[in-house]
Amino acid sequence: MKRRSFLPLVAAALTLTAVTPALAEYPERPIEMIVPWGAGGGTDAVGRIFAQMLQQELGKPVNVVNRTGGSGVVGHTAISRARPDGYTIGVVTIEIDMMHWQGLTQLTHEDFDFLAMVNADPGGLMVAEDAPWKTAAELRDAMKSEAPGTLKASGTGQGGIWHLNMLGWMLSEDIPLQNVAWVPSQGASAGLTDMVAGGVQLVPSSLAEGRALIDAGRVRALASMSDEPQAMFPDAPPLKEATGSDWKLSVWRTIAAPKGMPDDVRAKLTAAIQKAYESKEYQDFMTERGFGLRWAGPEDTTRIVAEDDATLGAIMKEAGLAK
Amino acid sequence: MRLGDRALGLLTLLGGVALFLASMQFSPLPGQKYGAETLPEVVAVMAIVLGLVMLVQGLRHESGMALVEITDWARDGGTWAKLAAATVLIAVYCVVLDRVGFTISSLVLVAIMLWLTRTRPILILPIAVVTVLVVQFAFGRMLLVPLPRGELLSLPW
Amino acid sequence: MSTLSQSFALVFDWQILMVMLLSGAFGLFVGAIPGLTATMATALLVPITFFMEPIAAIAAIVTASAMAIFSGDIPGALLRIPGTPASAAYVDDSYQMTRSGRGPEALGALLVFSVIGGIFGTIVLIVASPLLAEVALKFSSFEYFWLVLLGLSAAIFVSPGSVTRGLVALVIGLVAACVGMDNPTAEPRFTFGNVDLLGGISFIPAMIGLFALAEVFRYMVHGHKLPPPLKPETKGMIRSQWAVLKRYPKQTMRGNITGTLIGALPGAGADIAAWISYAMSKRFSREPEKFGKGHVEGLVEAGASNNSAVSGAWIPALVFGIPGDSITAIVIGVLYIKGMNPGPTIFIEQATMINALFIVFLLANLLMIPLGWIAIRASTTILAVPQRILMPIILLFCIVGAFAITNSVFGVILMLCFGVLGFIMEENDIPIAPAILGLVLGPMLEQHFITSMIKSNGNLLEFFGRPIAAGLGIMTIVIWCLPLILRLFRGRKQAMA
Repeated sequence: MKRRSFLPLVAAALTLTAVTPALAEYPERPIEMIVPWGAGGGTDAVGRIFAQMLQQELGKPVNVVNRTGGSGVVGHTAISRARPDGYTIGVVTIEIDMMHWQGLTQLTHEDFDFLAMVNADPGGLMVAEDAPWKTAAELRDAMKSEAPGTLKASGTGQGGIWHLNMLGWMLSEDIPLQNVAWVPSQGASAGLTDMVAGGVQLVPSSLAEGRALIDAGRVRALASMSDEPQAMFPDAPPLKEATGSDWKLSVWRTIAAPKGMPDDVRAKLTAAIQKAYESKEYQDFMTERGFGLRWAGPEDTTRIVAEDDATLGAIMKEAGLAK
Repeated sequence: MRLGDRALGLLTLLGGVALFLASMQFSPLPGQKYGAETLPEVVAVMAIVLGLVMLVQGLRHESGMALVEITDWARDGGTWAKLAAATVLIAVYCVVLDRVGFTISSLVLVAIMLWLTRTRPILILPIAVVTVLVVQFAFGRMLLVPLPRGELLSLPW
Repeated sequence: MSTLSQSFALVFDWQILMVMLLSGAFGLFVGAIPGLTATMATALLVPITFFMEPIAAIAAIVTASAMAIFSGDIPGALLRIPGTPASAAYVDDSYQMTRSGRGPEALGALLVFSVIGGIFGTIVLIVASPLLAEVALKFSSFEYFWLVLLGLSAAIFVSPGSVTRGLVALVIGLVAACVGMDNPTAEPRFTFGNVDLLGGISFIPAMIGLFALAEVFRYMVHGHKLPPPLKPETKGMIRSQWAVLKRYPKQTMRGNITGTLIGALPGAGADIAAWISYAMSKRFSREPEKFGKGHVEGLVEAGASNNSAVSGAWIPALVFGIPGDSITAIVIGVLYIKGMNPGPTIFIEQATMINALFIVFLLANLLMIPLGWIAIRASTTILAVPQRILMPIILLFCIVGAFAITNSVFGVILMLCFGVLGFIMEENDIPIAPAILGLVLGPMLEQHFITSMIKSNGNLLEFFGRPIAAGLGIMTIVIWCLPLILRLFRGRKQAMA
């Protein structure tokens, strides 16, 4: 008896909740911003500053939710599986172009609706201050001539983005891939510490990550994997200038949503994101923390992400890292 | 319920063997001697040796004793039922949490738990309501833990 | 000097002081509730600290954990139920003292010597950490490997109960540590195609399950009515301790040093420190026959010891990023979140923060005297909340705590699985601590082993190739062989007698 009278009630409640969003203007409740990496890291910092700026733009709280683990698979999956109603967005990082090649997930960049690219950091090349190589060209020659396994590099986990950065460069210079052994580490700072202690010889992470040690005179920046030298590291020439290689890699962060968002919501979000990006607060924050600024709208972002997917996939297949 | 050294040793031994078999699918890092299989295999060998030692010790010292010592509470069916009820309750809670939302599912959970611990019925509802609301406010509102809102009957927070 | 004044300015902010006061009260409450440990007080604080400034977050954890270790003594003295495992060693003595009307002396001694121990440990932390940091800069994966192994083995050999069951617990922890793909090879293991399991088994939900949820289950099974608490007398509680200190200066010092050292040892924490110090006190005492029957000597030494261990545990945590106990295992995660990456460079790069941390430590221990005094007075009320009401409430707290770590229901599921596991383990006399250590140290062990092997091209002898590594390696092996040597020694002694 009781159940029978209860069911229509539930049905009524369900239709009510289903109808309300269409009536009110987006956003009418807090927005969740999923960050697939741990609190305290670079992606988290970008996510949090953006959440704060968007909150000002949209007038509703934007809460950062860290969903970490599995090299980003957990968080990216959470973003893609959320309802595409504009109340869940997330920071999608370059790892989305790597994880499916590794066979970790079916998820690819095609499962997302990219709203904007808000940051990109070029890869770099760093050695210890007391290392014998003064330029990237000298290091390249050593990598070619030394016996395999003599030189070691570190900066991310096995098959991580900086590992791929090094492999991509080596392929472009025709250096046999087995010549340099990769020592997996928990992030660039662990790799840099190990390099200073003498455990490894080079770290191909972004120069920003080595800023403290470069400033302290313990680490030398040899090159930047970008077209132009970076403002903060004028002594590190672009790779093309240093060795003649065409290899380039930037690690980017995008704001994305699950596929299938309504157009009006999409337009509103994109406009808010662009405004947030252009704000002085965001620009100052990024410069202070040493993050690279890079803007791309929805179409450009989607294109860059797809291009990098192909590039990284090719390297991973070549290196035997793809499944 | 307390397993003797023989029973626990046998379990450890079997677990070790299973772990070792499962670890064989992993391979070393390219160009290296060690890799993903190293830790599980070492742990598996540890478990196998440990299981054997416990088996031998048990066979030596536990002759005539039962494999499994039944403690007082384990003879009481009611206790088992309570234990099972609590476990199933939390499991169901996990399944419905995202759908039903934190507030309602927690209310039901705390109320049933209070009933299981034989709290006076008149106290159950007040305690449950106050607890859930305080937790919801402290963690959900103030500390921004994204407690699920649920798809039906969700409160305006 | 300017960094020091900056640090003072950081700490003596009304917000920070407020946080310390509140978290102190929180720690006292959690520690005083039987079954809720200091570790759990810390774990429950983690989601809260997410939203705090770095110093506030650290202040909250330091204050809460120190208070919880002390307040675990209160229900021990009043009810003969230790509030935390660290208070278990001397519970007979303190309870007997209360029974025979010497309650104020017992509680006062526990409070005062907790403070003394905590401050001693802090001073060692302040003085020794930067020195140790210098040494640690030379540490590579080879040294860390031995350090982690040392921590794992120390836990087994010192933990009470049978060695084989301790090892079973360790195996359980290590198996759990294998799950996921966040290992040096980035190859997914035992994930059964589950996306959440790719991230591995999160340690805090597992720990909440093993300790707290298992306790809820135990209550469902063994739930019994608690005897009515004894009313504590607080008159002259603190003043009378001068005489005690004068009578047992050596014991106090020994407790301080032992506690700090054991705390600093990776993997061994306040509970182990208390057991060892109590045993040591009895061994060297002139009146060992009085121990366990209401003698204050053991309280002095072990009470100082467990609180100095809380501070000592921070030494390896800060210097090496290796947890000294299960509390600092959580702390390290929080430090990373707050951008204070532990490691030898923290003393250079974050000098202001580190000094502020030291000030917080001293302040927290001093704060213990007034707060502890209030807690003892209030304890009758706290302990009067019936467990039948407390347990369901604790369950909800556990759920929220576990949820907040993964920000998904996955954390709660993990907690449930480990709660059932913890209950089964406890019923079978399998200690929990080694399992936790296996889960925490297992990934570190693997990381350092694999990277070492890549660096040395697979040559195992390299583990003895550097002087510090060789020293640590030999130490570990000696500790492994110790039980055998002791057994031989004992056998000969018996044969001679």
